Amino acid sequence: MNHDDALNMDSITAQQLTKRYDETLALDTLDLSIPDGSVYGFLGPNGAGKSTTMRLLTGLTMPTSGEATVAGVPTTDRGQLIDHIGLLPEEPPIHDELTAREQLTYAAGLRELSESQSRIQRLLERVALAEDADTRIDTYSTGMRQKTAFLQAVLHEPDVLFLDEPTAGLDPRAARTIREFIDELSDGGTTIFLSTHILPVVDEHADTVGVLSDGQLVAEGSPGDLKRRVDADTGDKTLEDVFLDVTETAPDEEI
Amino acid sequence: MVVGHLTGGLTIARTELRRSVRKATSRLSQILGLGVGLFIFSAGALAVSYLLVTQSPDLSGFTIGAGVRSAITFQWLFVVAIIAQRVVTVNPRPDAGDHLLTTVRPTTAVVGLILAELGRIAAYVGLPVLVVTLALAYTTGSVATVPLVALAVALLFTSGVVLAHVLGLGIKLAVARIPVLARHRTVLGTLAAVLLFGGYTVIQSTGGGTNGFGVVPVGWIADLAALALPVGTSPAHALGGLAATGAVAAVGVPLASRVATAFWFGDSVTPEIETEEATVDRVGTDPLASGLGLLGRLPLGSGQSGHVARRTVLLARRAPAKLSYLILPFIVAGSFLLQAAFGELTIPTAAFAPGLAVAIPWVAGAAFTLNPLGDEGSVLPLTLTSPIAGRTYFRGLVRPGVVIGWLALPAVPILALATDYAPADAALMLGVAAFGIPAVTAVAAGIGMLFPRTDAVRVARGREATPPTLTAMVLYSACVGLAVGLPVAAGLAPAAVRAVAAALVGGLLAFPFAYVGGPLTGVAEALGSLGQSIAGLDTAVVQWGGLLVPVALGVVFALVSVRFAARYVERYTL
Repeated sequence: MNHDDALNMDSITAQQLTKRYDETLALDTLDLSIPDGSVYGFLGPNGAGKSTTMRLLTGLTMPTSGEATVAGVPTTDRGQLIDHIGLLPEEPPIHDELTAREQLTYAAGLRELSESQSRIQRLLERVALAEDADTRIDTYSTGMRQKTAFLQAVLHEPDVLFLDEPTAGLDPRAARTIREFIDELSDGGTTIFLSTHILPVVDEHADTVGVLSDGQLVAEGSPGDLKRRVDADTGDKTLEDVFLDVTETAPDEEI
Repeated sequence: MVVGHLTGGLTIARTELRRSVRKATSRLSQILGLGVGLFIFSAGALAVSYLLVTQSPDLSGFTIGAGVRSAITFQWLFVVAIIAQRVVTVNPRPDAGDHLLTTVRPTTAVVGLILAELGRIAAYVGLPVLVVTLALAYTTGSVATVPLVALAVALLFTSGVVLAHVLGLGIKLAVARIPVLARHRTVLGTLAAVLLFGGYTVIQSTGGGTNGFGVVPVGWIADLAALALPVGTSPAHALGGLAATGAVAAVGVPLASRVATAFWFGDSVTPEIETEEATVDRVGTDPLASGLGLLGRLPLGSGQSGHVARRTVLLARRAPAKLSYLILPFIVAGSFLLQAAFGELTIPTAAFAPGLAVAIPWVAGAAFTLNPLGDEGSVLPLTLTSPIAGRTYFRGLVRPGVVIGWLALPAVPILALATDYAPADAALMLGVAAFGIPAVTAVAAGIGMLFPRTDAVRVARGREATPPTLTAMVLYSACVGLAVGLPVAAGLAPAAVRAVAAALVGGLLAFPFAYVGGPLTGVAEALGSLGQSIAGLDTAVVQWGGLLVPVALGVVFALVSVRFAARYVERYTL
């Protein structure tokens, strides 16, 4: 199945997905339809509801109303869901006391992956972490920690990968390594849900971009479409212009 | 499915244990603590084993009765309470939970946490229990005792740890969902700790009071452990113990899993309460002062030191969890009080006022100045690069403790007079405490500088704080004891102080020299005669000497400490 064929099915869907915390409406009737094998760039100001959406789609939080599926599995069915997803949250979920190899071995052990050591070694080499793989994580730089957490999220070759700020705080070389890896995964058919504030990354990699503001999806389309919608005449706007434009607009005045 | 949970749980437990070992061996203080813990368990076990093997006691007259079963149940309940408290305060959620909970089912995660806790317990008690069991088996010639004791101990701890997780996670869930519990969790938690430790010491000290626990079949597991020994046992009780502990473990795991799922994946009222509490009413032009509310009216000074003082109080007000270590002495004192009240049916009211006269200075110094560098946290570079003199900075740090401590002082004479102390004694306690507050607060600053803690530790509700190091706490408490406790004691009860000092010098201090003997005998004799001289001192000399010498030392220590601390911070490099 090539990349275009893979885009025919929806890997992530959400219908009227809503999350309310007491008086606060964190996510308001979100509808999503993300094709299989695509990269979905998820943008929004701080506090817009991006992390809540990601927690809902990965089954870490239950919705107040509405429903969602990931890889065809309802997000409320955590038992099935965890077999299909990989998650890299903003704070790398790794143990400082372990080494990268131990951490990845642990993650592989939890999923009972076969021949995990050779795969771990390949992945470590892939992100240039093999030399430091037997050093404790508490001595790692931000980039090395992020790479370890990233490998942990992709180790089991998930159908859908959720990435929250995967390149934040990384130097250009480390960021490029992660970005190239994202491309590879996408080419291999993995659906990627990418939340970030680094807009050029989204511009470069995303097939579709969704912009969330005050819990509502206020804009959605390909990066090119969105730019044209903001400035149909010249079309020379950047994704940053789009972001600033749509997030300044009141939610009920959706473009 | 059960096998899957167990396999996954073992993987989690292995990793958790590896992390625990690495954490424990990464710091000298942790290694020492671990060593002391292992020594306490192992030394007792070795002593018992030695006696068993060398004395070969006749056990035939011994019967496992209600007293033994009751004691086992009582200790089991205490273990349950301690581990439940650990679950609530230290391990309510798995570390790196976002990864774990999107990788395995919640039941597997719960099984992993339970197995990890069992592994930690086994690290402490496993070997000592095995040594005693082997000695028992050797002495009685009963090989079957080894697997029976192993089974009984394993069931006892497994059921206890499982129940503790049900209770601990249940408490966390209740606090997450019920607003009134969430709002008053610190007070309720402190009260629960006082009741728990107080209740334990009360029942432990009254001895016979524990017999009532014999009806709980968990303690019947003692009959199972002793089934192959030449002692009186009841097979029916053994079976009951086996069934009870097995049932607790079997029912507890799915129950803990359900509670954990509700807690880990459900909503919490805490963020709303915290948001509500974070709202600040602004009045006046000084945001730091207005953020303090009523505390803003305290005379915390002006200028640079005033800013430091107000910032210090504001941080403590906004995150009181960072001061949670201050309640530890009060938990201990509360426990003793409960023990005295229930054990001897009297409340030692005479200890209240002197206790308060020492406690107020202790809190005043410990609250804000015992870890100044750690309290700065990520702001430390800003402070170090600010044009503020070391002395000014420390005036700001010391002032909140002094002001708040002095404001609390009227409670000392009021309590003293209410508990039948003479006005002169009340005045003495007031005077010593009033002097002690600035002195020990200044001393705390120096000690805190010498033994800082800059890395945060997890405190209640998963929050992180940087409490003072144990070394700083111990040294500081010793200084408070010397500069405040001794003058109070010498002023109120000079004869008792004289007797204690004579026994300490002439007895306790002299003993090791006398024990070694040889050339050190002379030292022991000198100390012994010094002890006798102390015992012969006039009470007036003890009274005035015990009052004036510590006060003079307090002044000297305070001056040295401020000078040292001010210079230290001015020259401090990251």
